[in-house]
Amino acid sequence: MCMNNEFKHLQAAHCENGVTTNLLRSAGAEQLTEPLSFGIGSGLFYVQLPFLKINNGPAIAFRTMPGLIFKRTCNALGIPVARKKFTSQEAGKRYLDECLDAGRAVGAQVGVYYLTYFPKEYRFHFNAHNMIVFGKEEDKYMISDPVMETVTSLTDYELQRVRFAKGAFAPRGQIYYPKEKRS
Amino acid sequence: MKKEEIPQDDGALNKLTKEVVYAVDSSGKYSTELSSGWEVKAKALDVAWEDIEKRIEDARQKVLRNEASPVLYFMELRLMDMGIVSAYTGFWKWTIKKHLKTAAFNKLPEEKLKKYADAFNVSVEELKTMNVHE
Repeated sequence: MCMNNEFKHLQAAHCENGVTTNLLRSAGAEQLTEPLSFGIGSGLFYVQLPFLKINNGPAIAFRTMPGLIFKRTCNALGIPVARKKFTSQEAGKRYLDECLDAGRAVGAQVGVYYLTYFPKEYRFHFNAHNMIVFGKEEDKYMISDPVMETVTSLTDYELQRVRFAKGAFAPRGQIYYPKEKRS
Repeated sequence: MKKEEIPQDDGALNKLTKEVVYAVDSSGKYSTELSSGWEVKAKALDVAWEDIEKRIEDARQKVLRNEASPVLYFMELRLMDMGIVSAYTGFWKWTIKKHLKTAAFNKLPEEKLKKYADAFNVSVEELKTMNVHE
């Protein structure tokens, strides 16, 4: 069992804001709030691509590309970012386990179609959801999903399935975290 | 919007969690509050799902009329498009297009059927008969 005991769950209106705020607070940017991350990360964006069909409709986005809010906020605050994608599922799992063993909470990009704690009505092939994985208890990974009021958990199989979901913006097991604390 | 005006309607997420929303408090400052849902949002989601249910039923009828293979039905049932099916099965898109035809589908060897079955999270038997109990 490994767990980051200082970890505090944070609920947010938008998933990447929540993950960014939470991870950077533990990296020394303690004053950070969700609106601040959203603003510093320039999260507001709009695009409509009628020729690109997603779920049988035109692709519409109201937020920037997945990962950008975290990247921009870290850049502005001078915090170096570690980000890793994986071609093999085993390597992705090994890397996550190593991070957790070192007591590090990490952000993960996932697809929501197989996200078991989401209601069926929300489960589309949407691959730009973000969550924090902050610990492991036997087969269960401890998950802090900013959409949820409290922490949840996923089994090894469930987490692998959402981390390696396929389709547009396939997350490819993507993991990210602030490399060092802000001096 | 003021805090007391935040909609507290029913929503799909309501059974599991409340959502964070931002609103103005009594002193005019923005703060967060929890909302159980918003009728407008719930309606929009309902409309989207009605559309999907219709597509699934249309696909089912097409398969029953032998105008398409069960791959079409499961594609709709699992909300997948050609790109997603291709990514999960490893087949090229044009190959899948071919397999959407009954004649080509019926000639598929077991291992290729298995790939589709795995992608759609069903057994090969369920794939062939469209009989899924969930």
